Amino acid sequence: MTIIEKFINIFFGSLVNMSSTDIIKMLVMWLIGGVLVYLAIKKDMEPSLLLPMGFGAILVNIPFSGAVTQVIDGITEEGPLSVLFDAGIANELFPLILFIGIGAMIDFGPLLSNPKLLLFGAAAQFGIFMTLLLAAVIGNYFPGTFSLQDAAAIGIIGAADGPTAIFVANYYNTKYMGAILVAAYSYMALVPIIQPPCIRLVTTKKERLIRMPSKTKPIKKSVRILFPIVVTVIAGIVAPRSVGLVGFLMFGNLIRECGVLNSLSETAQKVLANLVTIFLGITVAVKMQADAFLSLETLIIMGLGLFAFVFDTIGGVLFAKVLNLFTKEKVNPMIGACGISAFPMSSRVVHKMGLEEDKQNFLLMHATGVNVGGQIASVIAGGLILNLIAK
Amino acid sequence: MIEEALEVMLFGMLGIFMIMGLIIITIMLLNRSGGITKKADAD
Repeated sequence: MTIIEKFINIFFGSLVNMSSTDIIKMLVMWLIGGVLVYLAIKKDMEPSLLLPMGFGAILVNIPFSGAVTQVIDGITEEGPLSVLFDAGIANELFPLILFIGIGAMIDFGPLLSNPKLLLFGAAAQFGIFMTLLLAAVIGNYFPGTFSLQDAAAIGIIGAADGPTAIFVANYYNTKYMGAILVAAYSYMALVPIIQPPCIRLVTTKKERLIRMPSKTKPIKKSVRILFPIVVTVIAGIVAPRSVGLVGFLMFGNLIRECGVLNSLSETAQKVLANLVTIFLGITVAVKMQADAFLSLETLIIMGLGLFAFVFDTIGGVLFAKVLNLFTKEKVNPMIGACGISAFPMSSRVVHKMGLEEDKQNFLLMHATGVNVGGQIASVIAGGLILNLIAK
Repeated sequence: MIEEALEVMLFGMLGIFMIMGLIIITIMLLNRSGGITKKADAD
């Protein structure tokens, strides 16, 4: 062996030993990683998650990457990202801890002053189940693609809630987790582009002009404190598997509202949420290895994710329209779209649309109420699916 | 599989509306009664 051959073998051996197909797959994954990093930095699309995921996608697709566990010459070498995945995602710990932070961030005041808004949150979960059904139909007619468990994990993209998507996808141990999360986070960032045309499609100008008077009632502290406990107990009794998800979200909110744990609340909102987010994004990339990610199913999942967001939006708006048939005090059906969760972006989108139609139509308060209701509903929907479909 | 998915859809939506309904009723009752710590709030 010449010196040059030895040099190439030592430093570029991993590349030389790869087939051309593997090299193309690796380059495609690097490109996807680069696009995610670009979207995060240049377009400000969910940067806290898309950036670590994008970088992670590059990291795990380097040949024989030391970041993930590899079996080299029959010896297993543990990679830090795989260890983190087992420690924080495989046991569902990271998404649950993140929920404490999210719960501490949310002010349920607008919802508590008009609790009926919770119904819109429920209606806007329609997209989850429609997508689940569609994925099941695909799985049924194309055997070897999606199982019912995969369909459930894909449907939950419609929850428009990253931690819930991670929790459910991991619970069913779906091999499509990478694609599901890329779809979930990408579409969440695209809510301002996806929702307005869907809302316009199913509403008339007259409906979009409906004004809703602001009804801001002061909420008693005791109600604010009892709310997270009540939600946990009710959701827990009906769907016991949702307790992990709902309980952590509501625990975070209880810390916020109790009034005696301000420093903990602040820590949960900022330090804890940021810390978990850092690890969550990059660790999820373990599921973005080329062999698992580059498939026709990934493209189908991206399509199904969009379908879920569209039907969530339409479901919420149509429910508001139906409700208007029976109530004296009409609601602007656009607020139904905020039940999609994607807090707080969705409520801002609807508020802006309201102002575009009528400069004096301030929908923000109502939209925020529906939006936080959607956050609760999406978590409960995730828990219900776990209850209804066995592992 | 489609039948199972339809069942999940039906019971899933029913379950969400039922849980939301129960939460709404509880909040309304709490709002009306002022919560169990009404006196403490007033203090």
